[in-house]
Amino acid sequence: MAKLVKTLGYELDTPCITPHYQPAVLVELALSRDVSEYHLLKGTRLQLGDFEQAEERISPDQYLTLIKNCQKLTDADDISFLYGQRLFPGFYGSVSQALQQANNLRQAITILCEYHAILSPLFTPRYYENDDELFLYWVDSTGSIEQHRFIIESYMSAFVSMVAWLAGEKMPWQFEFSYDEPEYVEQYWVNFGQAIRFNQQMNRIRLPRYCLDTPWPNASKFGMQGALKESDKQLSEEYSPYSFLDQIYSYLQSHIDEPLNLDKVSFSFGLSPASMKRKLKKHQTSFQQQLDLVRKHTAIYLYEVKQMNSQEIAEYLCFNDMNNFRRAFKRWTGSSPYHLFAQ
Amino acid sequence: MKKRPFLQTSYFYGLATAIVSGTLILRARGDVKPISEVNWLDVMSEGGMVILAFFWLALLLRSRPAGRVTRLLAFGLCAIVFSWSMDFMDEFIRMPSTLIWHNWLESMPIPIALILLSIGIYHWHQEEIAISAQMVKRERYFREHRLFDKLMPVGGGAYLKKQLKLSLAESKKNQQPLALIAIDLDDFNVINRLYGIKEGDHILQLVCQLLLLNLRDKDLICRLAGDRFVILLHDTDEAEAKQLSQDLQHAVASFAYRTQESQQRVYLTATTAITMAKRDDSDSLIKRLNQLLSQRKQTAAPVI
Repeated sequence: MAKLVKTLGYELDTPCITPHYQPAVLVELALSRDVSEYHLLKGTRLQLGDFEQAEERISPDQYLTLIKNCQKLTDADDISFLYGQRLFPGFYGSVSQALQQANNLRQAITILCEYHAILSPLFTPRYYENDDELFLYWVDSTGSIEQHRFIIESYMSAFVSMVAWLAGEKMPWQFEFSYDEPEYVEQYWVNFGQAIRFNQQMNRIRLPRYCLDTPWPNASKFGMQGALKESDKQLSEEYSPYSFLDQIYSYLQSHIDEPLNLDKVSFSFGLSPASMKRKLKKHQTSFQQQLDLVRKHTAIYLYEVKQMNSQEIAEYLCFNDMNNFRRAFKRWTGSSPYHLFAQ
Repeated sequence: MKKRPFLQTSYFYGLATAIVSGTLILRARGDVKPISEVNWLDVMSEGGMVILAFFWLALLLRSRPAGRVTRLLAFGLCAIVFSWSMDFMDEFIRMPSTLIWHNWLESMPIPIALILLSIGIYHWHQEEIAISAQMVKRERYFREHRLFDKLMPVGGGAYLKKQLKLSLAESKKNQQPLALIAIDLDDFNVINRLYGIKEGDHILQLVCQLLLLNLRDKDLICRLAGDRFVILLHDTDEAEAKQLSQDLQHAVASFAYRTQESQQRVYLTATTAITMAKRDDSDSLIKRLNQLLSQRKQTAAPVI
């Protein structure tokens, strides 16, 4: 098999994020809440001037430290949501312009997913649809376990608030979160409405399909097409349009119906198994965790979209033995396939 | 939160001067003990007392605005710090036993300190009663500063849940109806986008004050989250609650806000929902209230 991945995507310590994009929004929000500048930037190796100068890029790691500081110093449950409300369309060059002029919800989602390296560098939005619904879900792209909830809250409210702003109406969507119900669940009610469920398999939004193609008032066909052309240029100037974890996820996803192991995947990435392991460890994950994650997502996809039963899903995922599959499935999801799919 | 600066520093200068001059007087009349004679256990315990008393004084001065009560308490604590530090100095300086007055430096300030502190605490008690009367619509006999909202002078979501538990028990005991109103600004998201988050925060603070003005003394208001407030109405039936919620809606609609920067007039409207406490617990009650509000948001026409 030939080497498939030509250049490796950005990693936790790659300087790839423009500081005056999303990080600056957070800094301004924190400063408006009277947080001391010194403590906010502590440990980030950044100064306020860096946000104005726009010369050097910062790494996801620095951005994550900034989030951690902001969380600690503001000590308010609504910070992530307020941050989200200011994120999109934002001022991130032509990508923001394209979002602003999107013709409908479907286009906005496509732009968000295609230009995620610029728009949402820490978690990657992905989607799939069946006959009734579109599922928009977010996958960790830089290994940020500690700030996981903050980022999900802000990215989801960013999307929701942008759509409310551009569409001019509230959407009948449902929210699912992979974690426990937080103490401050009222923030979720106010920002996301009542259709929210915790302890689910993914962090995702479910949208009825009929909302997707309703034209939006701000839409501009030519404006958006032009902005998208420029956005392509903008994306090509980025360090990479994907993160390293994104590439692993996509690779595993497209080869999930073959037997996979560390050696084979490492070879396709042009890495030795040892350095593959090291890179994954840097992002607080392992090959097995990534494989399990993709298998879980694929199983859910096959069930929700292709309407396969457990037997067919097991075969697709290269399990010869149903007992084996059931045991593995339980490990990925915490419940049996029968139980989960019966819901 | 920004750290509060020390504003009342003169107490520290006065105290330092007193301690230094006290030490100099002791030193002038006494002899320094050789190291071998120093009782280190006493040094540690007495030094610890001085440090603790100093810590109380620092906290007091840092948290309280200047005024009569603060002055009394601060003088009392200063006297205690002084007396204990003289006691501490004793461990290093031996005084001739013929001297009587050196003991005064240690023991005289203590009764004065205790008298000052007692008067101070009495007035503090009066002050608390006065402040609680002002806070009545925001805390209703239960205070927990860790649950205060970060932005508004009212309690947050967690505080609401605590208060609701108390109120449910109270209304059950007294056989009184308990009503809840939720009030939420319409399209607040748009205001934040158009005028910025700082302006949005300011609007929320003013709306909160506005709502407070329109409540009765037995009501309690909390900020649930974002632009949503919840009001507990004790001993109130549904018709009264409805009237009150309409009044609140009218108050918000006729609030003539102008932005701080460009003096632009912002028009606000609000949606409300009412529910009566029946046989449910605080969680299900809040949940039901929010569900009602979400439904009303999609159907109700704004009140102008």
